[in-house]
Order: sequence, then structure tokens, then C-alpha cells
Amino acid sequence: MWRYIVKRILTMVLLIFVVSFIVFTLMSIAPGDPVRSIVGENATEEQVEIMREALGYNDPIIERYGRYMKDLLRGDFGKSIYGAKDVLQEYMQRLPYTVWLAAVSIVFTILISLPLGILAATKQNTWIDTIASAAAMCGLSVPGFWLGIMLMLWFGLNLGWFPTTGAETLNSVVLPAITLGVANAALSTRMTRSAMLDTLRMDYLRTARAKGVAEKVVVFRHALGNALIPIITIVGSQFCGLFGGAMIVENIFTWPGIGSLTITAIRGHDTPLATGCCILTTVITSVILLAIDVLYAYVDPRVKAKYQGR
Amino acid sequence: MKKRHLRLISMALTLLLMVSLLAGCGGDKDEQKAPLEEEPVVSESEEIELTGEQTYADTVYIAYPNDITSVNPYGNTDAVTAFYTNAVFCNLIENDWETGEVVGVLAEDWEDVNGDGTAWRINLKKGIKFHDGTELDAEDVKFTWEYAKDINNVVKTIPSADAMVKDVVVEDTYTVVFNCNYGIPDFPTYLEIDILSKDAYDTMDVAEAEKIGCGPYMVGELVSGVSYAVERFDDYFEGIDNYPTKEIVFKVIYDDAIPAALQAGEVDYCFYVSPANFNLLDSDPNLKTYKALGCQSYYIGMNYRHDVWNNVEMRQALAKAINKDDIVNVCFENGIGATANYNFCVPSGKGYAEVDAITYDPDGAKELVAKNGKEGMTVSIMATANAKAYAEVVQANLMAVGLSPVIDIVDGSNWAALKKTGDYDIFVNDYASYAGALLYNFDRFFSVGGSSNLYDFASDEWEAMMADIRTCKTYEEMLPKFAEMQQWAADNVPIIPICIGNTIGCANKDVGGVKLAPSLNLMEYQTVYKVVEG
Repeated sequence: MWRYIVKRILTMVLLIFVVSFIVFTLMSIAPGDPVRSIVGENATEEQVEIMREALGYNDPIIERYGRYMKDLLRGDFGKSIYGAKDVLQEYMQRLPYTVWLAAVSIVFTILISLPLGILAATKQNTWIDTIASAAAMCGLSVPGFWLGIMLMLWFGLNLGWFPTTGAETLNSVVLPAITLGVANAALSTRMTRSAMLDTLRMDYLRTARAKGVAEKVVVFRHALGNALIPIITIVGSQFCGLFGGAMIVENIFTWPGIGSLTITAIRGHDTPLATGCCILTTVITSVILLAIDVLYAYVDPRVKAKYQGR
Repeated sequence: MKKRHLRLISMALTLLLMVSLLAGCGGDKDEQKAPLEEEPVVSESEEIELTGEQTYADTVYIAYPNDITSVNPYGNTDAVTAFYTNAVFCNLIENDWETGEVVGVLAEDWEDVNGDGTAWRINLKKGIKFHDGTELDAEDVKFTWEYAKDINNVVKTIPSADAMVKDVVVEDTYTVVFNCNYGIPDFPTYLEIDILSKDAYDTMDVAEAEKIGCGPYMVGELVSGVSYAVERFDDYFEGIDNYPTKEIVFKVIYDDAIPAALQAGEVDYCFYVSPANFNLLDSDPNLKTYKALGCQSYYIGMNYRHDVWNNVEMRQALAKAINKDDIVNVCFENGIGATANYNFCVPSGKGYAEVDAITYDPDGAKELVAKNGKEGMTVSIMATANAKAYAEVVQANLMAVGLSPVIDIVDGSNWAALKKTGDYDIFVNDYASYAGALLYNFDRFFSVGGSSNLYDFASDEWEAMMADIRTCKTYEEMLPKFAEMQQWAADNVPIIPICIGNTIGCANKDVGGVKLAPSLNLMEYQTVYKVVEG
């Protein structure tokens, strides 16, 4: 198991190099002149040139990348080109907002999808199954940006139950979390239903039923445990996806997370901030994926046995 | 059979749900897109006067779509830094946009030492305190000038500082003299500079020192991506009677969410409202809207590296071909977002003059195009994606006069560089933030080597006029020459002025003290208050 974890960490290091190189290079070759944006239209050519030199924009990309990575190995993610803010500090200020949003959203996903998926599977081909499937279809088809605006108008503006924007109060998270959670819940519901259906048809469950085991025990103890593997995979991936993929929803609700920070950095051609955001998001995502893989071992003894070489 | 029915019912229910939700998106079409029939400025009866007998909220919340990146007035060139620091720092001298006068803020008065604009003595007001408790003196003015002119210290430098001023001499505690390299009769108009505290920079970390100003508000809590605040400075040298609000908090709310936040009462005021949302907010009985002519002059420019545009008749043909009203109606929310304009200068700018300009005349344009043998000539129009509609109006206008325009959509972040290097004929939807000294603005846009003259305009006539105006001994002497230059620009069309952007604001009914200044760096939100009783 430890060997596997070490191997994954080494892969992560390689991944960071690849991601940083791709992001840094793309940001550097993208059309646009960040220096002009920084100094404004009133600056003279001489001032533009001094600023360009100070920021190192006159050096070849590879030299700049080398310098960036050298600093990175010392834990220095550089400074944003606008306002010279420390990238790591800026990211860390925004991270808790994204973690909070992702956590609430994933809890919403689990609370909706698990019971609904189990119910749909155990009541296959009944009206419950049909409604659950239709709801899942709706959830998958509805675009997040549209749902977000509708929720904002109904529950924020018309009913006044939740704030329409920002993250200052505890209940601010509800609308963005639901917006993000609906599509995830829909997908997870379908996954749970299909995983449960597969498991419920297994011979060992038929045997259990024949031996007179109560249906609740069959479903929740024997079937659900085995069906959890694909569910954990999908929910884990969704959780990771929320770190980098919540940008649109963050924009709708003005949620101050890392998604909106990354978008602002990319739009402003802020190479240090954009590269730093991408690297840090990659690290976090990799760590979560690793944690999920480790979790498999505890949920599924077969996986643990594989890692232990049995 | 049963299963089939259930599927049909569930599909019908799904459709019903979608339709009802979609219905919620709608609204009265006329209400949303009503044409602008009259000037929708807030009426006097709606405005709440500051009586001093009312009870005011301690905190007023203002929505703004961008986060702040610097609290140093010279730390960034963006609008948010300009308006935020406007409450924290004070200018030495200010160009009053309402009266057109140059007024002293920290300066008590000033004099032209030699009578030819080569040296200016500035006397400071006494007893002005910075937020750290130290007193303003002449050393602060000298320090600010020398610190903020250097690109190695700051990002937003004092424009043309080295070209204009030889040195700054402190005569005594409250007197400072600017010795100029040549006679600058309008020099005081260049002194709209925020004064920093030398003591603060000498004794504190730069990060702390750059927060110290002497304005009516101090730097408050800054929460990245969420909000940034200013807190009232009770020792403000002009007193705090006009500033009843103790704390003003800017909440970062992106454009599209601002109307909902205003309507839900989550914010009290917003001085940056998209024209697209104007009618929606204007029709809300709990809100009031404001509109004022801004300082952004939108124009169409030509690429003078293409010889055809050095022909004044072809420039005039373009000016005649383009229908400004169409552009304003199609691209600026039926005139809510902008007002058609014929002078490159804006009325709130110093030295503005009415000009006899070229108006829309497609037949005249066609004649000029034919006279120069340019029928069917391909005209490449450079535009950004968000100005596509603008470019299409121009394209239609040019096609109507016998030209063959093609639109080239480019990346907006590369705009300035492309203006300098791109292979285009004309570019659309550019604008000049027209504030500060008039001569400076003329110089940067039309003089050879001007910082904003990225399209390479060059004219001996213009250079001669610039040289001539610099020989003036007094500002009054300059004014008629400014008018002549504006008329010359209207006749010779180095650029084609299209419209002036409107500044739009919106506030809750119980909010007062709103001043919708035409210039972003004069956005006077600091006088805003919210009446909670009385």
C-alpha cells in the first residue's frame, strides 16, 4: 500500500511539472500584452519597456519558466502582476470558500442521490423509478448557469430566503451549492441505481433472501456495500471537479473561490497567478484522488489485497 | 401499458416544469426594452437631502464588479484603484468637473512665479493631518512627485512628469516650487495628484505606508474577492459634516448579479450599472436611478501606416459615412449607454468647445470615395468580440458608400499592441478616458510619439499648433487656441468621435448624497448615506 502511495506521489510531482510547463507556456504565448494593461494607456513607450524588463518579459519563455520553477521549488509561487500580491497567500485566502462550497455541494449530492438511487433500484419499473429517472434526466439536462439564475431570482430575490450573491453569511452557500449539486446528484442517482441493480441481481443476494434475511438488511448491508465502489468513484471525481470546475457558478453568485480567481488571472494575462492557481489546484485534486484510491482499499477488501500483493 | 402511461405522464410533468421555469425568465418586453424618451436622471424630489436631523446607517454597502488589487493611488491603472483611493487620498489641486474651474484641495493657492509658466509656487493649507496623525507639509509634495513619477516605484506614474518639471524645491514648511523645463501656463491642471505621506514611507513598511492618505476615509478591511472597505477619518481637515457614514463597504458583485443584489437590498448603491439593466432597475419602485454624461469619448481610429488614410478627404468620407445615432442606438442600449458626440473632447473636460463638425452624409461620402477612385476598396475593420455589433453597423455604413469593409475580430487583451502593429484599416469602439489637462490629452493622442497615438497619426499642421500653444503665457490665452485645435480636429478627423459614455448609477430609495461624477477618478461615493430614521 505504501509503495503505491509513494508511486502516486512521484507521479504527482511529474504531473506538476507538466501542468506548470503547459500553463506557463500557454499564458506566455497567448496573444495580448499584459505590460500595456498594467501600465495603462497613458504610459510612454519607455515606461512600458522599463516595466517589461522589470517583469522579465523580454527574456525567452524557457528562461522565465526555469526561473519560475526555481522559485517554486523554494515554495515561492511569485507575485501577481497586478498589485504584486503573493500568489500562494491569495490562493489560500480563496481556498476555504471553494472547499466549503464543494463540501456542501457534495453533501447535497449524496443526500439526494443515494436515497433516490436506492429507491429507484429497489422499486424498479414502478412510478417511483420513473419519476426518479425523469428527475435525474432533468437534473442532467438543465444548464447550471440557467438554474443558478433561476434559483437566485426565486429564492434570493422573490422569496428573500437566501442572499443572491457573496459569501459573507452561512446561508450564502445554499444556492451555489444546490446549483452545482443538481447535475452531480442527477449523475450519481443514475450511477447508484445502476450499481444497485447490478448488485441486487447477484447470486449471493438471492441466497441471502432465500435464507430469510430481511430485505432491509439485504439492501443496506449486503448490496449497498458492494455498490458503493462505483459511487465513491463518481462522487470523488465530482468533488475534484468542483475545485476547478465551479467557475461559472462562482461567477453567477460572485462566490470568491479559486475558480473566479483563476478566471480573473487568465483574463488579465497574469501568468504567475494563473500558473500558481493551476499548480495548486492540480496538487489538491491529485491528493483527493489519492485519498479516494486509499479509501477503496478500506471499502473493498479485494483492492486492499491487490495492493498488498496477495 | 401502465409503464407507457407513466412515461408519458413523467414526460408531460417534466415539460410542464421546464415551461413554468422558463416563464419565470420572461417579463414585460416593453418594460425591459422601452426606448429612452426622456433623460432618466433622478428627480430632485426623489433625492434625500442631508439635514443632520436624520439618523444614518453606520455602514453603506456599494456593489462593484471588480476586486481591488492595490490601495496605492499609483499602484494600479484600473478604475477600482482610482475611485477607492479617491476617498483615502487628497489631490493637491482638482479640476472641478461641475464648474470647470481649477480648485485647490490641499493647496491654499498658487502663483506663476515668473509670469511665463516656467515656475509655479504652491502654498499648502495648514493643519492637514494624515491618517497616521502626522501633518502634511511641503516635503510630502516633493516626495510624492519624485516617488510617483518613477516607473521603478509605481505602476501608474504622473504623466509627463520628467518632460515638464526640472525640479521641485521646498521653500518652507508649507511652500513648494515646481521649476518647469518650459513655460506651462496650464501647469496647475496637471497637479491633480494624490499626495502621499513621506513620514509614512520613511518609517513604515511600504505595504502600510501606501495606505496613509489625508482623505475623509481611511483604508478599512480588505477581504480578497469579497469586499473592501473604507472607514471615516474623524480628523479630516474639512470636517466630517458631509460624511455621515462611518464605514463604506464595497462588495464584489459581478455585473450580471448587481441588479438582483440591489433589488434584494443586499447593497445600497451602485455607481457602475450596465446600461442593459437600466430599464429593469428604473422600473423598480424601491430603487432610483442616476445617469450622467461620463468622460469616456468613444471613437473610430484609422491606421496611418496605410497611406490612404493620410488623405484627409478619405478620412472625411469615413466621417460622413458613419451614422453615429445608429451606433448609439444599436450598440449602446438605445442611447442609455452613450450620447452621440462630434467633438473628441468631452463637455466636462477643461477647455471644451462646441465645434462645427462633419455630420452623417452618405451621399457626400460616396462622392469623396469616387473622387479619390477608391470605390470597392477593401477596408479592414478591427474590432473585439464584444464590439461585433458596432463593427457591423460601421460595415453597413461603409458598404452604403461604395467601400468593401471586412470585419476582423481580435483578442481584446492584445488591443493596444495590435493598434500599433496590426494590419488593419480602421478600428472601432476604442475610447479615451478624458480627464485632466487638455493639452496633455491632445498631445498623447495626436502628436507624433504621443503615448496614445498608437495608430501613427502625423500632421505638420498639428505639430505647429502644439508648438504655438506652448508659447502662451497664460491659461486664458490658451483657451481660444484650444477651441481652434478642436475645430481643426473636427475638420481633419484624425479620429472620428462617435459618442460619450454615460455613467449610470442606482440606489435604494433611502439613500442620499449620491454624486455621479463624470470622471471615474472623481467618483464621489464618499458622501453617500442611508437614512434609517427621519
